[in-house]
Amino acid sequence: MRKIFYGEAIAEAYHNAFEKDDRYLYMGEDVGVFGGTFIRNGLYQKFGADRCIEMPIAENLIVAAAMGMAVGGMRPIAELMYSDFISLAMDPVVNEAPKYRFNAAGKASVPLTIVAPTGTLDGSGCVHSQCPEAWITNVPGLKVVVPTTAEDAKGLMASCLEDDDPCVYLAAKSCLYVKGEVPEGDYKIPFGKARIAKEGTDVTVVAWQRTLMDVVAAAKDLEKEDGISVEIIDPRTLIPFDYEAVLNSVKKTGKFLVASEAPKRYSCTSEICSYVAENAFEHLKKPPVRLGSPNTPIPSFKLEEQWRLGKDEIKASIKALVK
Amino acid sequence: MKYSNEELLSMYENLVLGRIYDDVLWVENQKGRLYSMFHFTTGQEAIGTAVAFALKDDEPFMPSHRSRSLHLKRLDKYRYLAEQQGCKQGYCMGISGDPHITVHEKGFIANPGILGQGCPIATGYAFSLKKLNPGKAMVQLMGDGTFNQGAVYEAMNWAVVQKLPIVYVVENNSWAMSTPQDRYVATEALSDRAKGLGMDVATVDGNDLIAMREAMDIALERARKQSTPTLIEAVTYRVTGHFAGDVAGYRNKEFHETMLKKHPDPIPRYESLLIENNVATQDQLDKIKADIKAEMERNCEELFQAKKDPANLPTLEDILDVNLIYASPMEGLL
Repeated sequence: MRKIFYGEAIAEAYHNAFEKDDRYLYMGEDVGVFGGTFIRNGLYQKFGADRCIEMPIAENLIVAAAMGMAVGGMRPIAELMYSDFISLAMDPVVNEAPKYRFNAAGKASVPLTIVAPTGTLDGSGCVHSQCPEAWITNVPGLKVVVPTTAEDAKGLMASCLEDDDPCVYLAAKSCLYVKGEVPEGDYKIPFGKARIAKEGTDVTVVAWQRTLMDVVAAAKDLEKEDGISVEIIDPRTLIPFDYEAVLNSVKKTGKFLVASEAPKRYSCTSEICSYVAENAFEHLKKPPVRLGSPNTPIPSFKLEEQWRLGKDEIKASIKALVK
Repeated sequence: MKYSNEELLSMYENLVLGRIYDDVLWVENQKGRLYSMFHFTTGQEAIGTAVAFALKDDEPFMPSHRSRSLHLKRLDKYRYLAEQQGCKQGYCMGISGDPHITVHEKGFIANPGILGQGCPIATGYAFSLKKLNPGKAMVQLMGDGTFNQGAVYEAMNWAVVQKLPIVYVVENNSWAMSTPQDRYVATEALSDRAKGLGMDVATVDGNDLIAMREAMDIALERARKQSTPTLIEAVTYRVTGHFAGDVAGYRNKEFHETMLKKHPDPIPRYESLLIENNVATQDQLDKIKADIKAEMERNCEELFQAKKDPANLPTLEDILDVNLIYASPMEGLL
């Protein structure tokens, strides 16, 4: 199968939707001739300024206006240049879009997709490198999507675009420039169905995006060096979350580790780990383990590599857990 | 007069309904029969009435929390009251209440509880309106306190850039909850801010129903024909406290008296106009008021009785229904 970049895969999903239905719109900063900061989607060139709207530097407006468009019958995609900027759009993201349907007693919907490049990559510092999923996963009414592979990037975006609820699609910057096999044409990957990234028998590891890529590399080493068989689960979406896939794996391996590059304290890993402890305690042969980055702001430049949770720590932790 | 006698009288009914609704509800509140948190529209009803009648029935709006007469023009009085009182017979099952009520089939877009955030949402809605229903216009209302939110500035600027068919109405009542306006506004007119963004603006006496209606007609017609936004600053005064039960102890008495004189009550003003133009006699107007009051009291009594039956009240089970929160439900959402 052909291999394309994760970012190109996302753009294919946009184009498929735009061609089918002219209610789809794209709006964000620098999405005109410049083409988009991280995701060069080609929409402006193909569909013009009416459907690919260059917005002012006003993130609250970008998301809130997109929400108003969605309520009014359009199907907008609102892009935040960095997921860190979601802070500026926090009110529409947490107070408005996810609550609109509830206030209408189920008689209205908000088919809105918010796309935000997320995470570490190039030492951009403490407000251009964060993973904000824990900021928003406590909010009822949202769906939160965290694709890792190029194939998932396209299929999950297609699901966002057909979904009638507000979806936050966190596109990992570290994955954008990784190629993967991506089917041609239109296909969807459903929310809430985890992907078994690698089958194994000794330990269950849950991770997504950059951390998942490190887990895969660590597992390869461990298999070769120590004969440890790691089962790796990519949840694909944090809301909804495929608890069943995780529990089934834990029942098999009896050992559980969850990792993310966000600061460890009150991270999404805390929720996943608690769920496993509550629901599979009798299957656990050892206490479950959580890994994350330090509870500090992210340093700029190369120090970022030392700050973030990386392959070495993951490898050592899995080894200690399996021993 | 460019409006028919019939329309002038309909506007009168709506204007006084806006007043009487709050008055009757407040009495019910005091009696402890129908208790809810609400904000009085008292003294500002002409703005909502003017907007309600200037809009066409199929044109949408986003109200403020002081737009009672506008709400009541489109909605059934009993069902609106029921919603406000947390009763299942309301428009939104009694779970959304007066501030967040959402009734799309009546063109009623929810006013977010977070002040100022409605402005960009309504602006986005206007974008959809332009694309999907060209030739239609809409209105969004907000108070002068809300007008200070950054989101308002972001949205109004973009409405000018995109040429959107929306009329923003600022109910300038001199108070942001307990804070007097000289603490948060330094310009002469609030409309100057929108002028600075390149928007058409008008500052209107919001207690003069006809002046307000005419300004709305002009602005909405412009929005329909040439798809450009307008800001109408409707100058009024908040006669009551911020919310039902607020005794407004923070208010300077002298200032209050001066402002009441400066912004006379819109209802007697409009009554004088109707009488002078032989549209109605005072007796006829008094009868309209008495009838509306009696109807409101009947509605309140009916609702008070309805609320005694637990079957008419929403339950926790009702709201744990995933379909109420998500339009495309799936496992693992709640």
